[in-house]
Amino acid sequence: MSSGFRSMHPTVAIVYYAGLVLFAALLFHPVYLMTELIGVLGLLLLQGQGKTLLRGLPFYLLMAGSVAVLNPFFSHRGSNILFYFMDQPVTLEAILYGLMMMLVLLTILIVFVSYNYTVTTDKFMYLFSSVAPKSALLTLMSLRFVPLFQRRLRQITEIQRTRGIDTSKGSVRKRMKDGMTLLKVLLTWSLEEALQTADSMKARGYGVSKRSSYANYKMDRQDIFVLVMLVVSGLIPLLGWLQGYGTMQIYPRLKPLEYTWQEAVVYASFCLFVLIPSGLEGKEKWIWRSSQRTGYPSAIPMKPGTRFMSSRSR
Amino acid sequence: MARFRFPVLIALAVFIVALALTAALKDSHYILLSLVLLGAALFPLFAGLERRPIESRELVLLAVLSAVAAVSRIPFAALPSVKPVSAIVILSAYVFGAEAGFIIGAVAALVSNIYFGQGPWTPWQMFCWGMIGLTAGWLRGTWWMRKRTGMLIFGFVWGFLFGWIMNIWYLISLPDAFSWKLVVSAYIASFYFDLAHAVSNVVFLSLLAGGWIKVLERFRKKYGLLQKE
Amino acid sequence: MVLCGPSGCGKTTLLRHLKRELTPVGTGSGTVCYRGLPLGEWSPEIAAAEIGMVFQNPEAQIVMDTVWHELAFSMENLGYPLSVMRSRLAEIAGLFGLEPLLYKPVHELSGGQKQLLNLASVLVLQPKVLLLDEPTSQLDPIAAREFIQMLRRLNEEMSVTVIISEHRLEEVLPLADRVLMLEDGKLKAEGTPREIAVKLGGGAASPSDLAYFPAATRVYLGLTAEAALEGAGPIPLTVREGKQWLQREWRTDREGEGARPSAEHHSAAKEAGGSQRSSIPSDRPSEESVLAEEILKAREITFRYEKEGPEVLKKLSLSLFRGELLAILGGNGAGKSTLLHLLNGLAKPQRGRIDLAKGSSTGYLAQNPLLYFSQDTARAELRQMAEYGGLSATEAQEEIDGLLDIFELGELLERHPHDLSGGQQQKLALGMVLLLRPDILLLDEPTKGLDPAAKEKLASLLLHLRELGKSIIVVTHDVEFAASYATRCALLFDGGITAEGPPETFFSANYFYTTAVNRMVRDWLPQALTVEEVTRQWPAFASRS
Repeated sequence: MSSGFRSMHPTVAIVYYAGLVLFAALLFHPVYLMTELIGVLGLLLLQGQGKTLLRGLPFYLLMAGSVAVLNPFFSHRGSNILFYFMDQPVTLEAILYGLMMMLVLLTILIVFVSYNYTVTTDKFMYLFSSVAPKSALLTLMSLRFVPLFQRRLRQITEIQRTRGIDTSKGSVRKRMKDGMTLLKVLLTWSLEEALQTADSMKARGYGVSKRSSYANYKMDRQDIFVLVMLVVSGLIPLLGWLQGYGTMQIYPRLKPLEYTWQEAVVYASFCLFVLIPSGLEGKEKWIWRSSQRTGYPSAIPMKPGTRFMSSRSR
Repeated sequence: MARFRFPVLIALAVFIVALALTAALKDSHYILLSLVLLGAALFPLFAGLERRPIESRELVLLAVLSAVAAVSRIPFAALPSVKPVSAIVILSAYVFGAEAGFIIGAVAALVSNIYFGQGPWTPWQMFCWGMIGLTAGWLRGTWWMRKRTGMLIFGFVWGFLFGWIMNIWYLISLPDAFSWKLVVSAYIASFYFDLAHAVSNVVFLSLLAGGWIKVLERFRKKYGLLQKE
Repeated sequence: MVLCGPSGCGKTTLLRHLKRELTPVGTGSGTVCYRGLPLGEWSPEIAAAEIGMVFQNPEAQIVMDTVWHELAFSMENLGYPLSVMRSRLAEIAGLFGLEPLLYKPVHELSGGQKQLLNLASVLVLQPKVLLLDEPTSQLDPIAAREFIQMLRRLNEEMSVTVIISEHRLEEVLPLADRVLMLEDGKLKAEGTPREIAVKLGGGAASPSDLAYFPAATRVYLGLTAEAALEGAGPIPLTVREGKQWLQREWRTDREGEGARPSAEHHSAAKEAGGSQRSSIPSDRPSEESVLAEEILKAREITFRYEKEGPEVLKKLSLSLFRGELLAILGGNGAGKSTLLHLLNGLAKPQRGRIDLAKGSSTGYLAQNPLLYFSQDTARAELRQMAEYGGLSATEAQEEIDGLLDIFELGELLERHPHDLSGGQQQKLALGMVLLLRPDILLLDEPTKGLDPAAKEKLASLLLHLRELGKSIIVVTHDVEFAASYATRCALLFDGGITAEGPPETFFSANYFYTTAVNRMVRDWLPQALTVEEVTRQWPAFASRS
């Protein structure tokens, strides 16, 4: 269920994803952006999230693509005029800029797909509660109520139908009104019951002293190692960026990309940052595969589809 | 760990702010800066919640209202921009005040996005719904907000404002194309969505207002809470 | 220590006074002392940790979203360091067998598991006193028994002081050291269970007080003359003790007549039981009326919730006759509620059909009456329902007045439905269902959480409705209720009806799934199910044999 990068300490994951978003927003350079995009896509595939990605992809492409289309029609900066559209000049620079922004948006959106898979609610709440404990507590309680209320709403819908409050019958106005009545029933009931929740919190000592926080996560040696790697390899491109590396100048005039050894160092370090989690995932995959191949020195043959297999694939 | 929490957080915040400013000035690159500004807007209100002791009843009340708002988003997930969340946040703020309204709006956005998927839009939605609650709470004492029509107009206006604010995070990715023409065309493109949101707000508010305010008032008494204003 | 007494007698208020954080608002006098000091003088940390409390509703008490978080919540509140929390959580999870559930979201747990979790998350603070406010009233019997067993372990092995208020005392009372009986906010009786039994059994007791005692005790009190109570042997509290006592009784009764081989005794017993039944004017309707017209018939219905899901009901056939009260029993998740949904048309079976007699309709009362309320007053609820039922204003008024009479809800009309007590809410919901004038009533667990007196009221209400020509299906866990008031019982198991019959034959055929009274007296009176039946039949049987 959780393996490789996903099983690591939440801090590691959040540093990685924060870094990715930061770089996507800062490093305005096609090579860097493509590297990041491909790196994240690779990570997603290694995590077995290809399907989730495909489901959201049309929306992401539409969103990012529209930026690429819109920019040249509204921005007329740049010196290489390609053609005129409705008496407005369309410049090469504007098109390139649009494409770059498309990459930025697409990268950020896809980073979030991977984020949603890796940083589970538990991990998010862990991080959140170390920053803002009370808000996190509130959010957690709210999270606990959501499935409960969904179930309640279903029951209420079913029962209120027997008294004519039904969202599937009647005029639109009546249906909306009924829908709101159902929500009102839910609200009344839930607020009423929540008084008991409040009592139960008090009975368990809420507000008695300063809260501490329980954590399921422990930084182990690998976590620390990876964290240090991420920080170091992330700082280099960041410092490079401050020196002017890793960006491409489009306006006012497109500048050709230059390659220097400094640029190469920055890029290599950036690649390392992007690819560390994929490397972890890949290693995990490889370990399982090889352990399957060589097998345990046991007389029981490994059959596909045994418990061992299914627990791994889940 | 806890001992270092605040220094570390402050250092991080300063660092990111500096980065965002540099990015904005150097490359007129505003994505990061916008996030920083959002954070700055959300921060004081959440900090207020963090600092004072909260009664368990108050906490539960806020959690329930946020959860109800989040759940109300689910049956309408198929219809874009028809979200009862705004109406629920407005009514809660109307009864329980600005701070509660803000918290309910922001937490509802965060929680419902845990089900709908987080994305770069999450902070924006938190901001929008939080602000809906905050403004509704501020204005709840005014004579026109007390009138049904006033509240409906408020909901209608926020329907558009919501869409317009949400447009920003898209628009800032086109910094140099930024012109009034672009803004106008973007807002024309989103007009029907915003209109749908505004109209649905009016409908939801007109349907909910009487009954819900009564229910919420009843519970305000019952919980004996949040009456200081 | 066990607290008992009717609903609204002040049990909850008393318990809340023992828990400092929850002391109700109001004027009070007197002090509550904990270990020699008034409760208010202990530090808040100690007061919170050493006195733990578990409430009635398992769902409402849970604060957090996952099991581990819920367990950690109370420790976080008291600011325990991480290492302490880790080890305590591990310990408690092990004790309660919660490891496999640790990472589950709480909404996936069953009611019994939720209540155990609530208990566990109080216990992580290592309380010395546990207060429990009707903790098992919302649980099914098996989960309730498990819960009580857990309490017993805590009490015996950890010597935790347990103060529990309960309606269902069959299992709790034999474990109790001390019983307090409350009435109208006053202490009515106090003592060990046996002392209380003697005190109350000694004549002054009303039948509703007796109803709190386990079956064995009630049988004993029913059969023993008042005068003989003082100085008699220990009063039986459990089925085992009751049986041993009956054994002795029976022997002493028969000593004069000489022993008989046991085989003969069995047949004699059967004969006796059978003949008693026919000669005694039963409170059940006679067999003829049961064999009347078939009003509802389900034929081979099969149902599953999802296409790939398991079959909840498998080719289930069932019929209901006019004027009868059919009790459907079955374990948790056997599909009882689903069956009612189907019969009421809330869901459609994938196969098979459900036929209603011409012109008849069904009315469904779900377990939770709160689902029915959407208006601001009880009156508005009834009005809206009458309107939906197509009644004219005058008809509605008549109909509502009639119902108010039967249900004794007159004064509560202007109250908010949520401000009513549980029993009143149920009555109101039932009234609402009745306004649709159904011929068949489908009731889902109507006795859940009711005290014995309220149960009796409900039963007489149902009887009244049957006299009005309604037929009733009750789905229940409550074996005692089914045995006393049903005309026919059916067992739902594995998606089908596996046994069916009038209560006497239905229950006497069961070994485990029968009333405590029957388990106690079955060797002599195999068909006797209730205390009343035993008290009526035993003397005759004993003298005959």
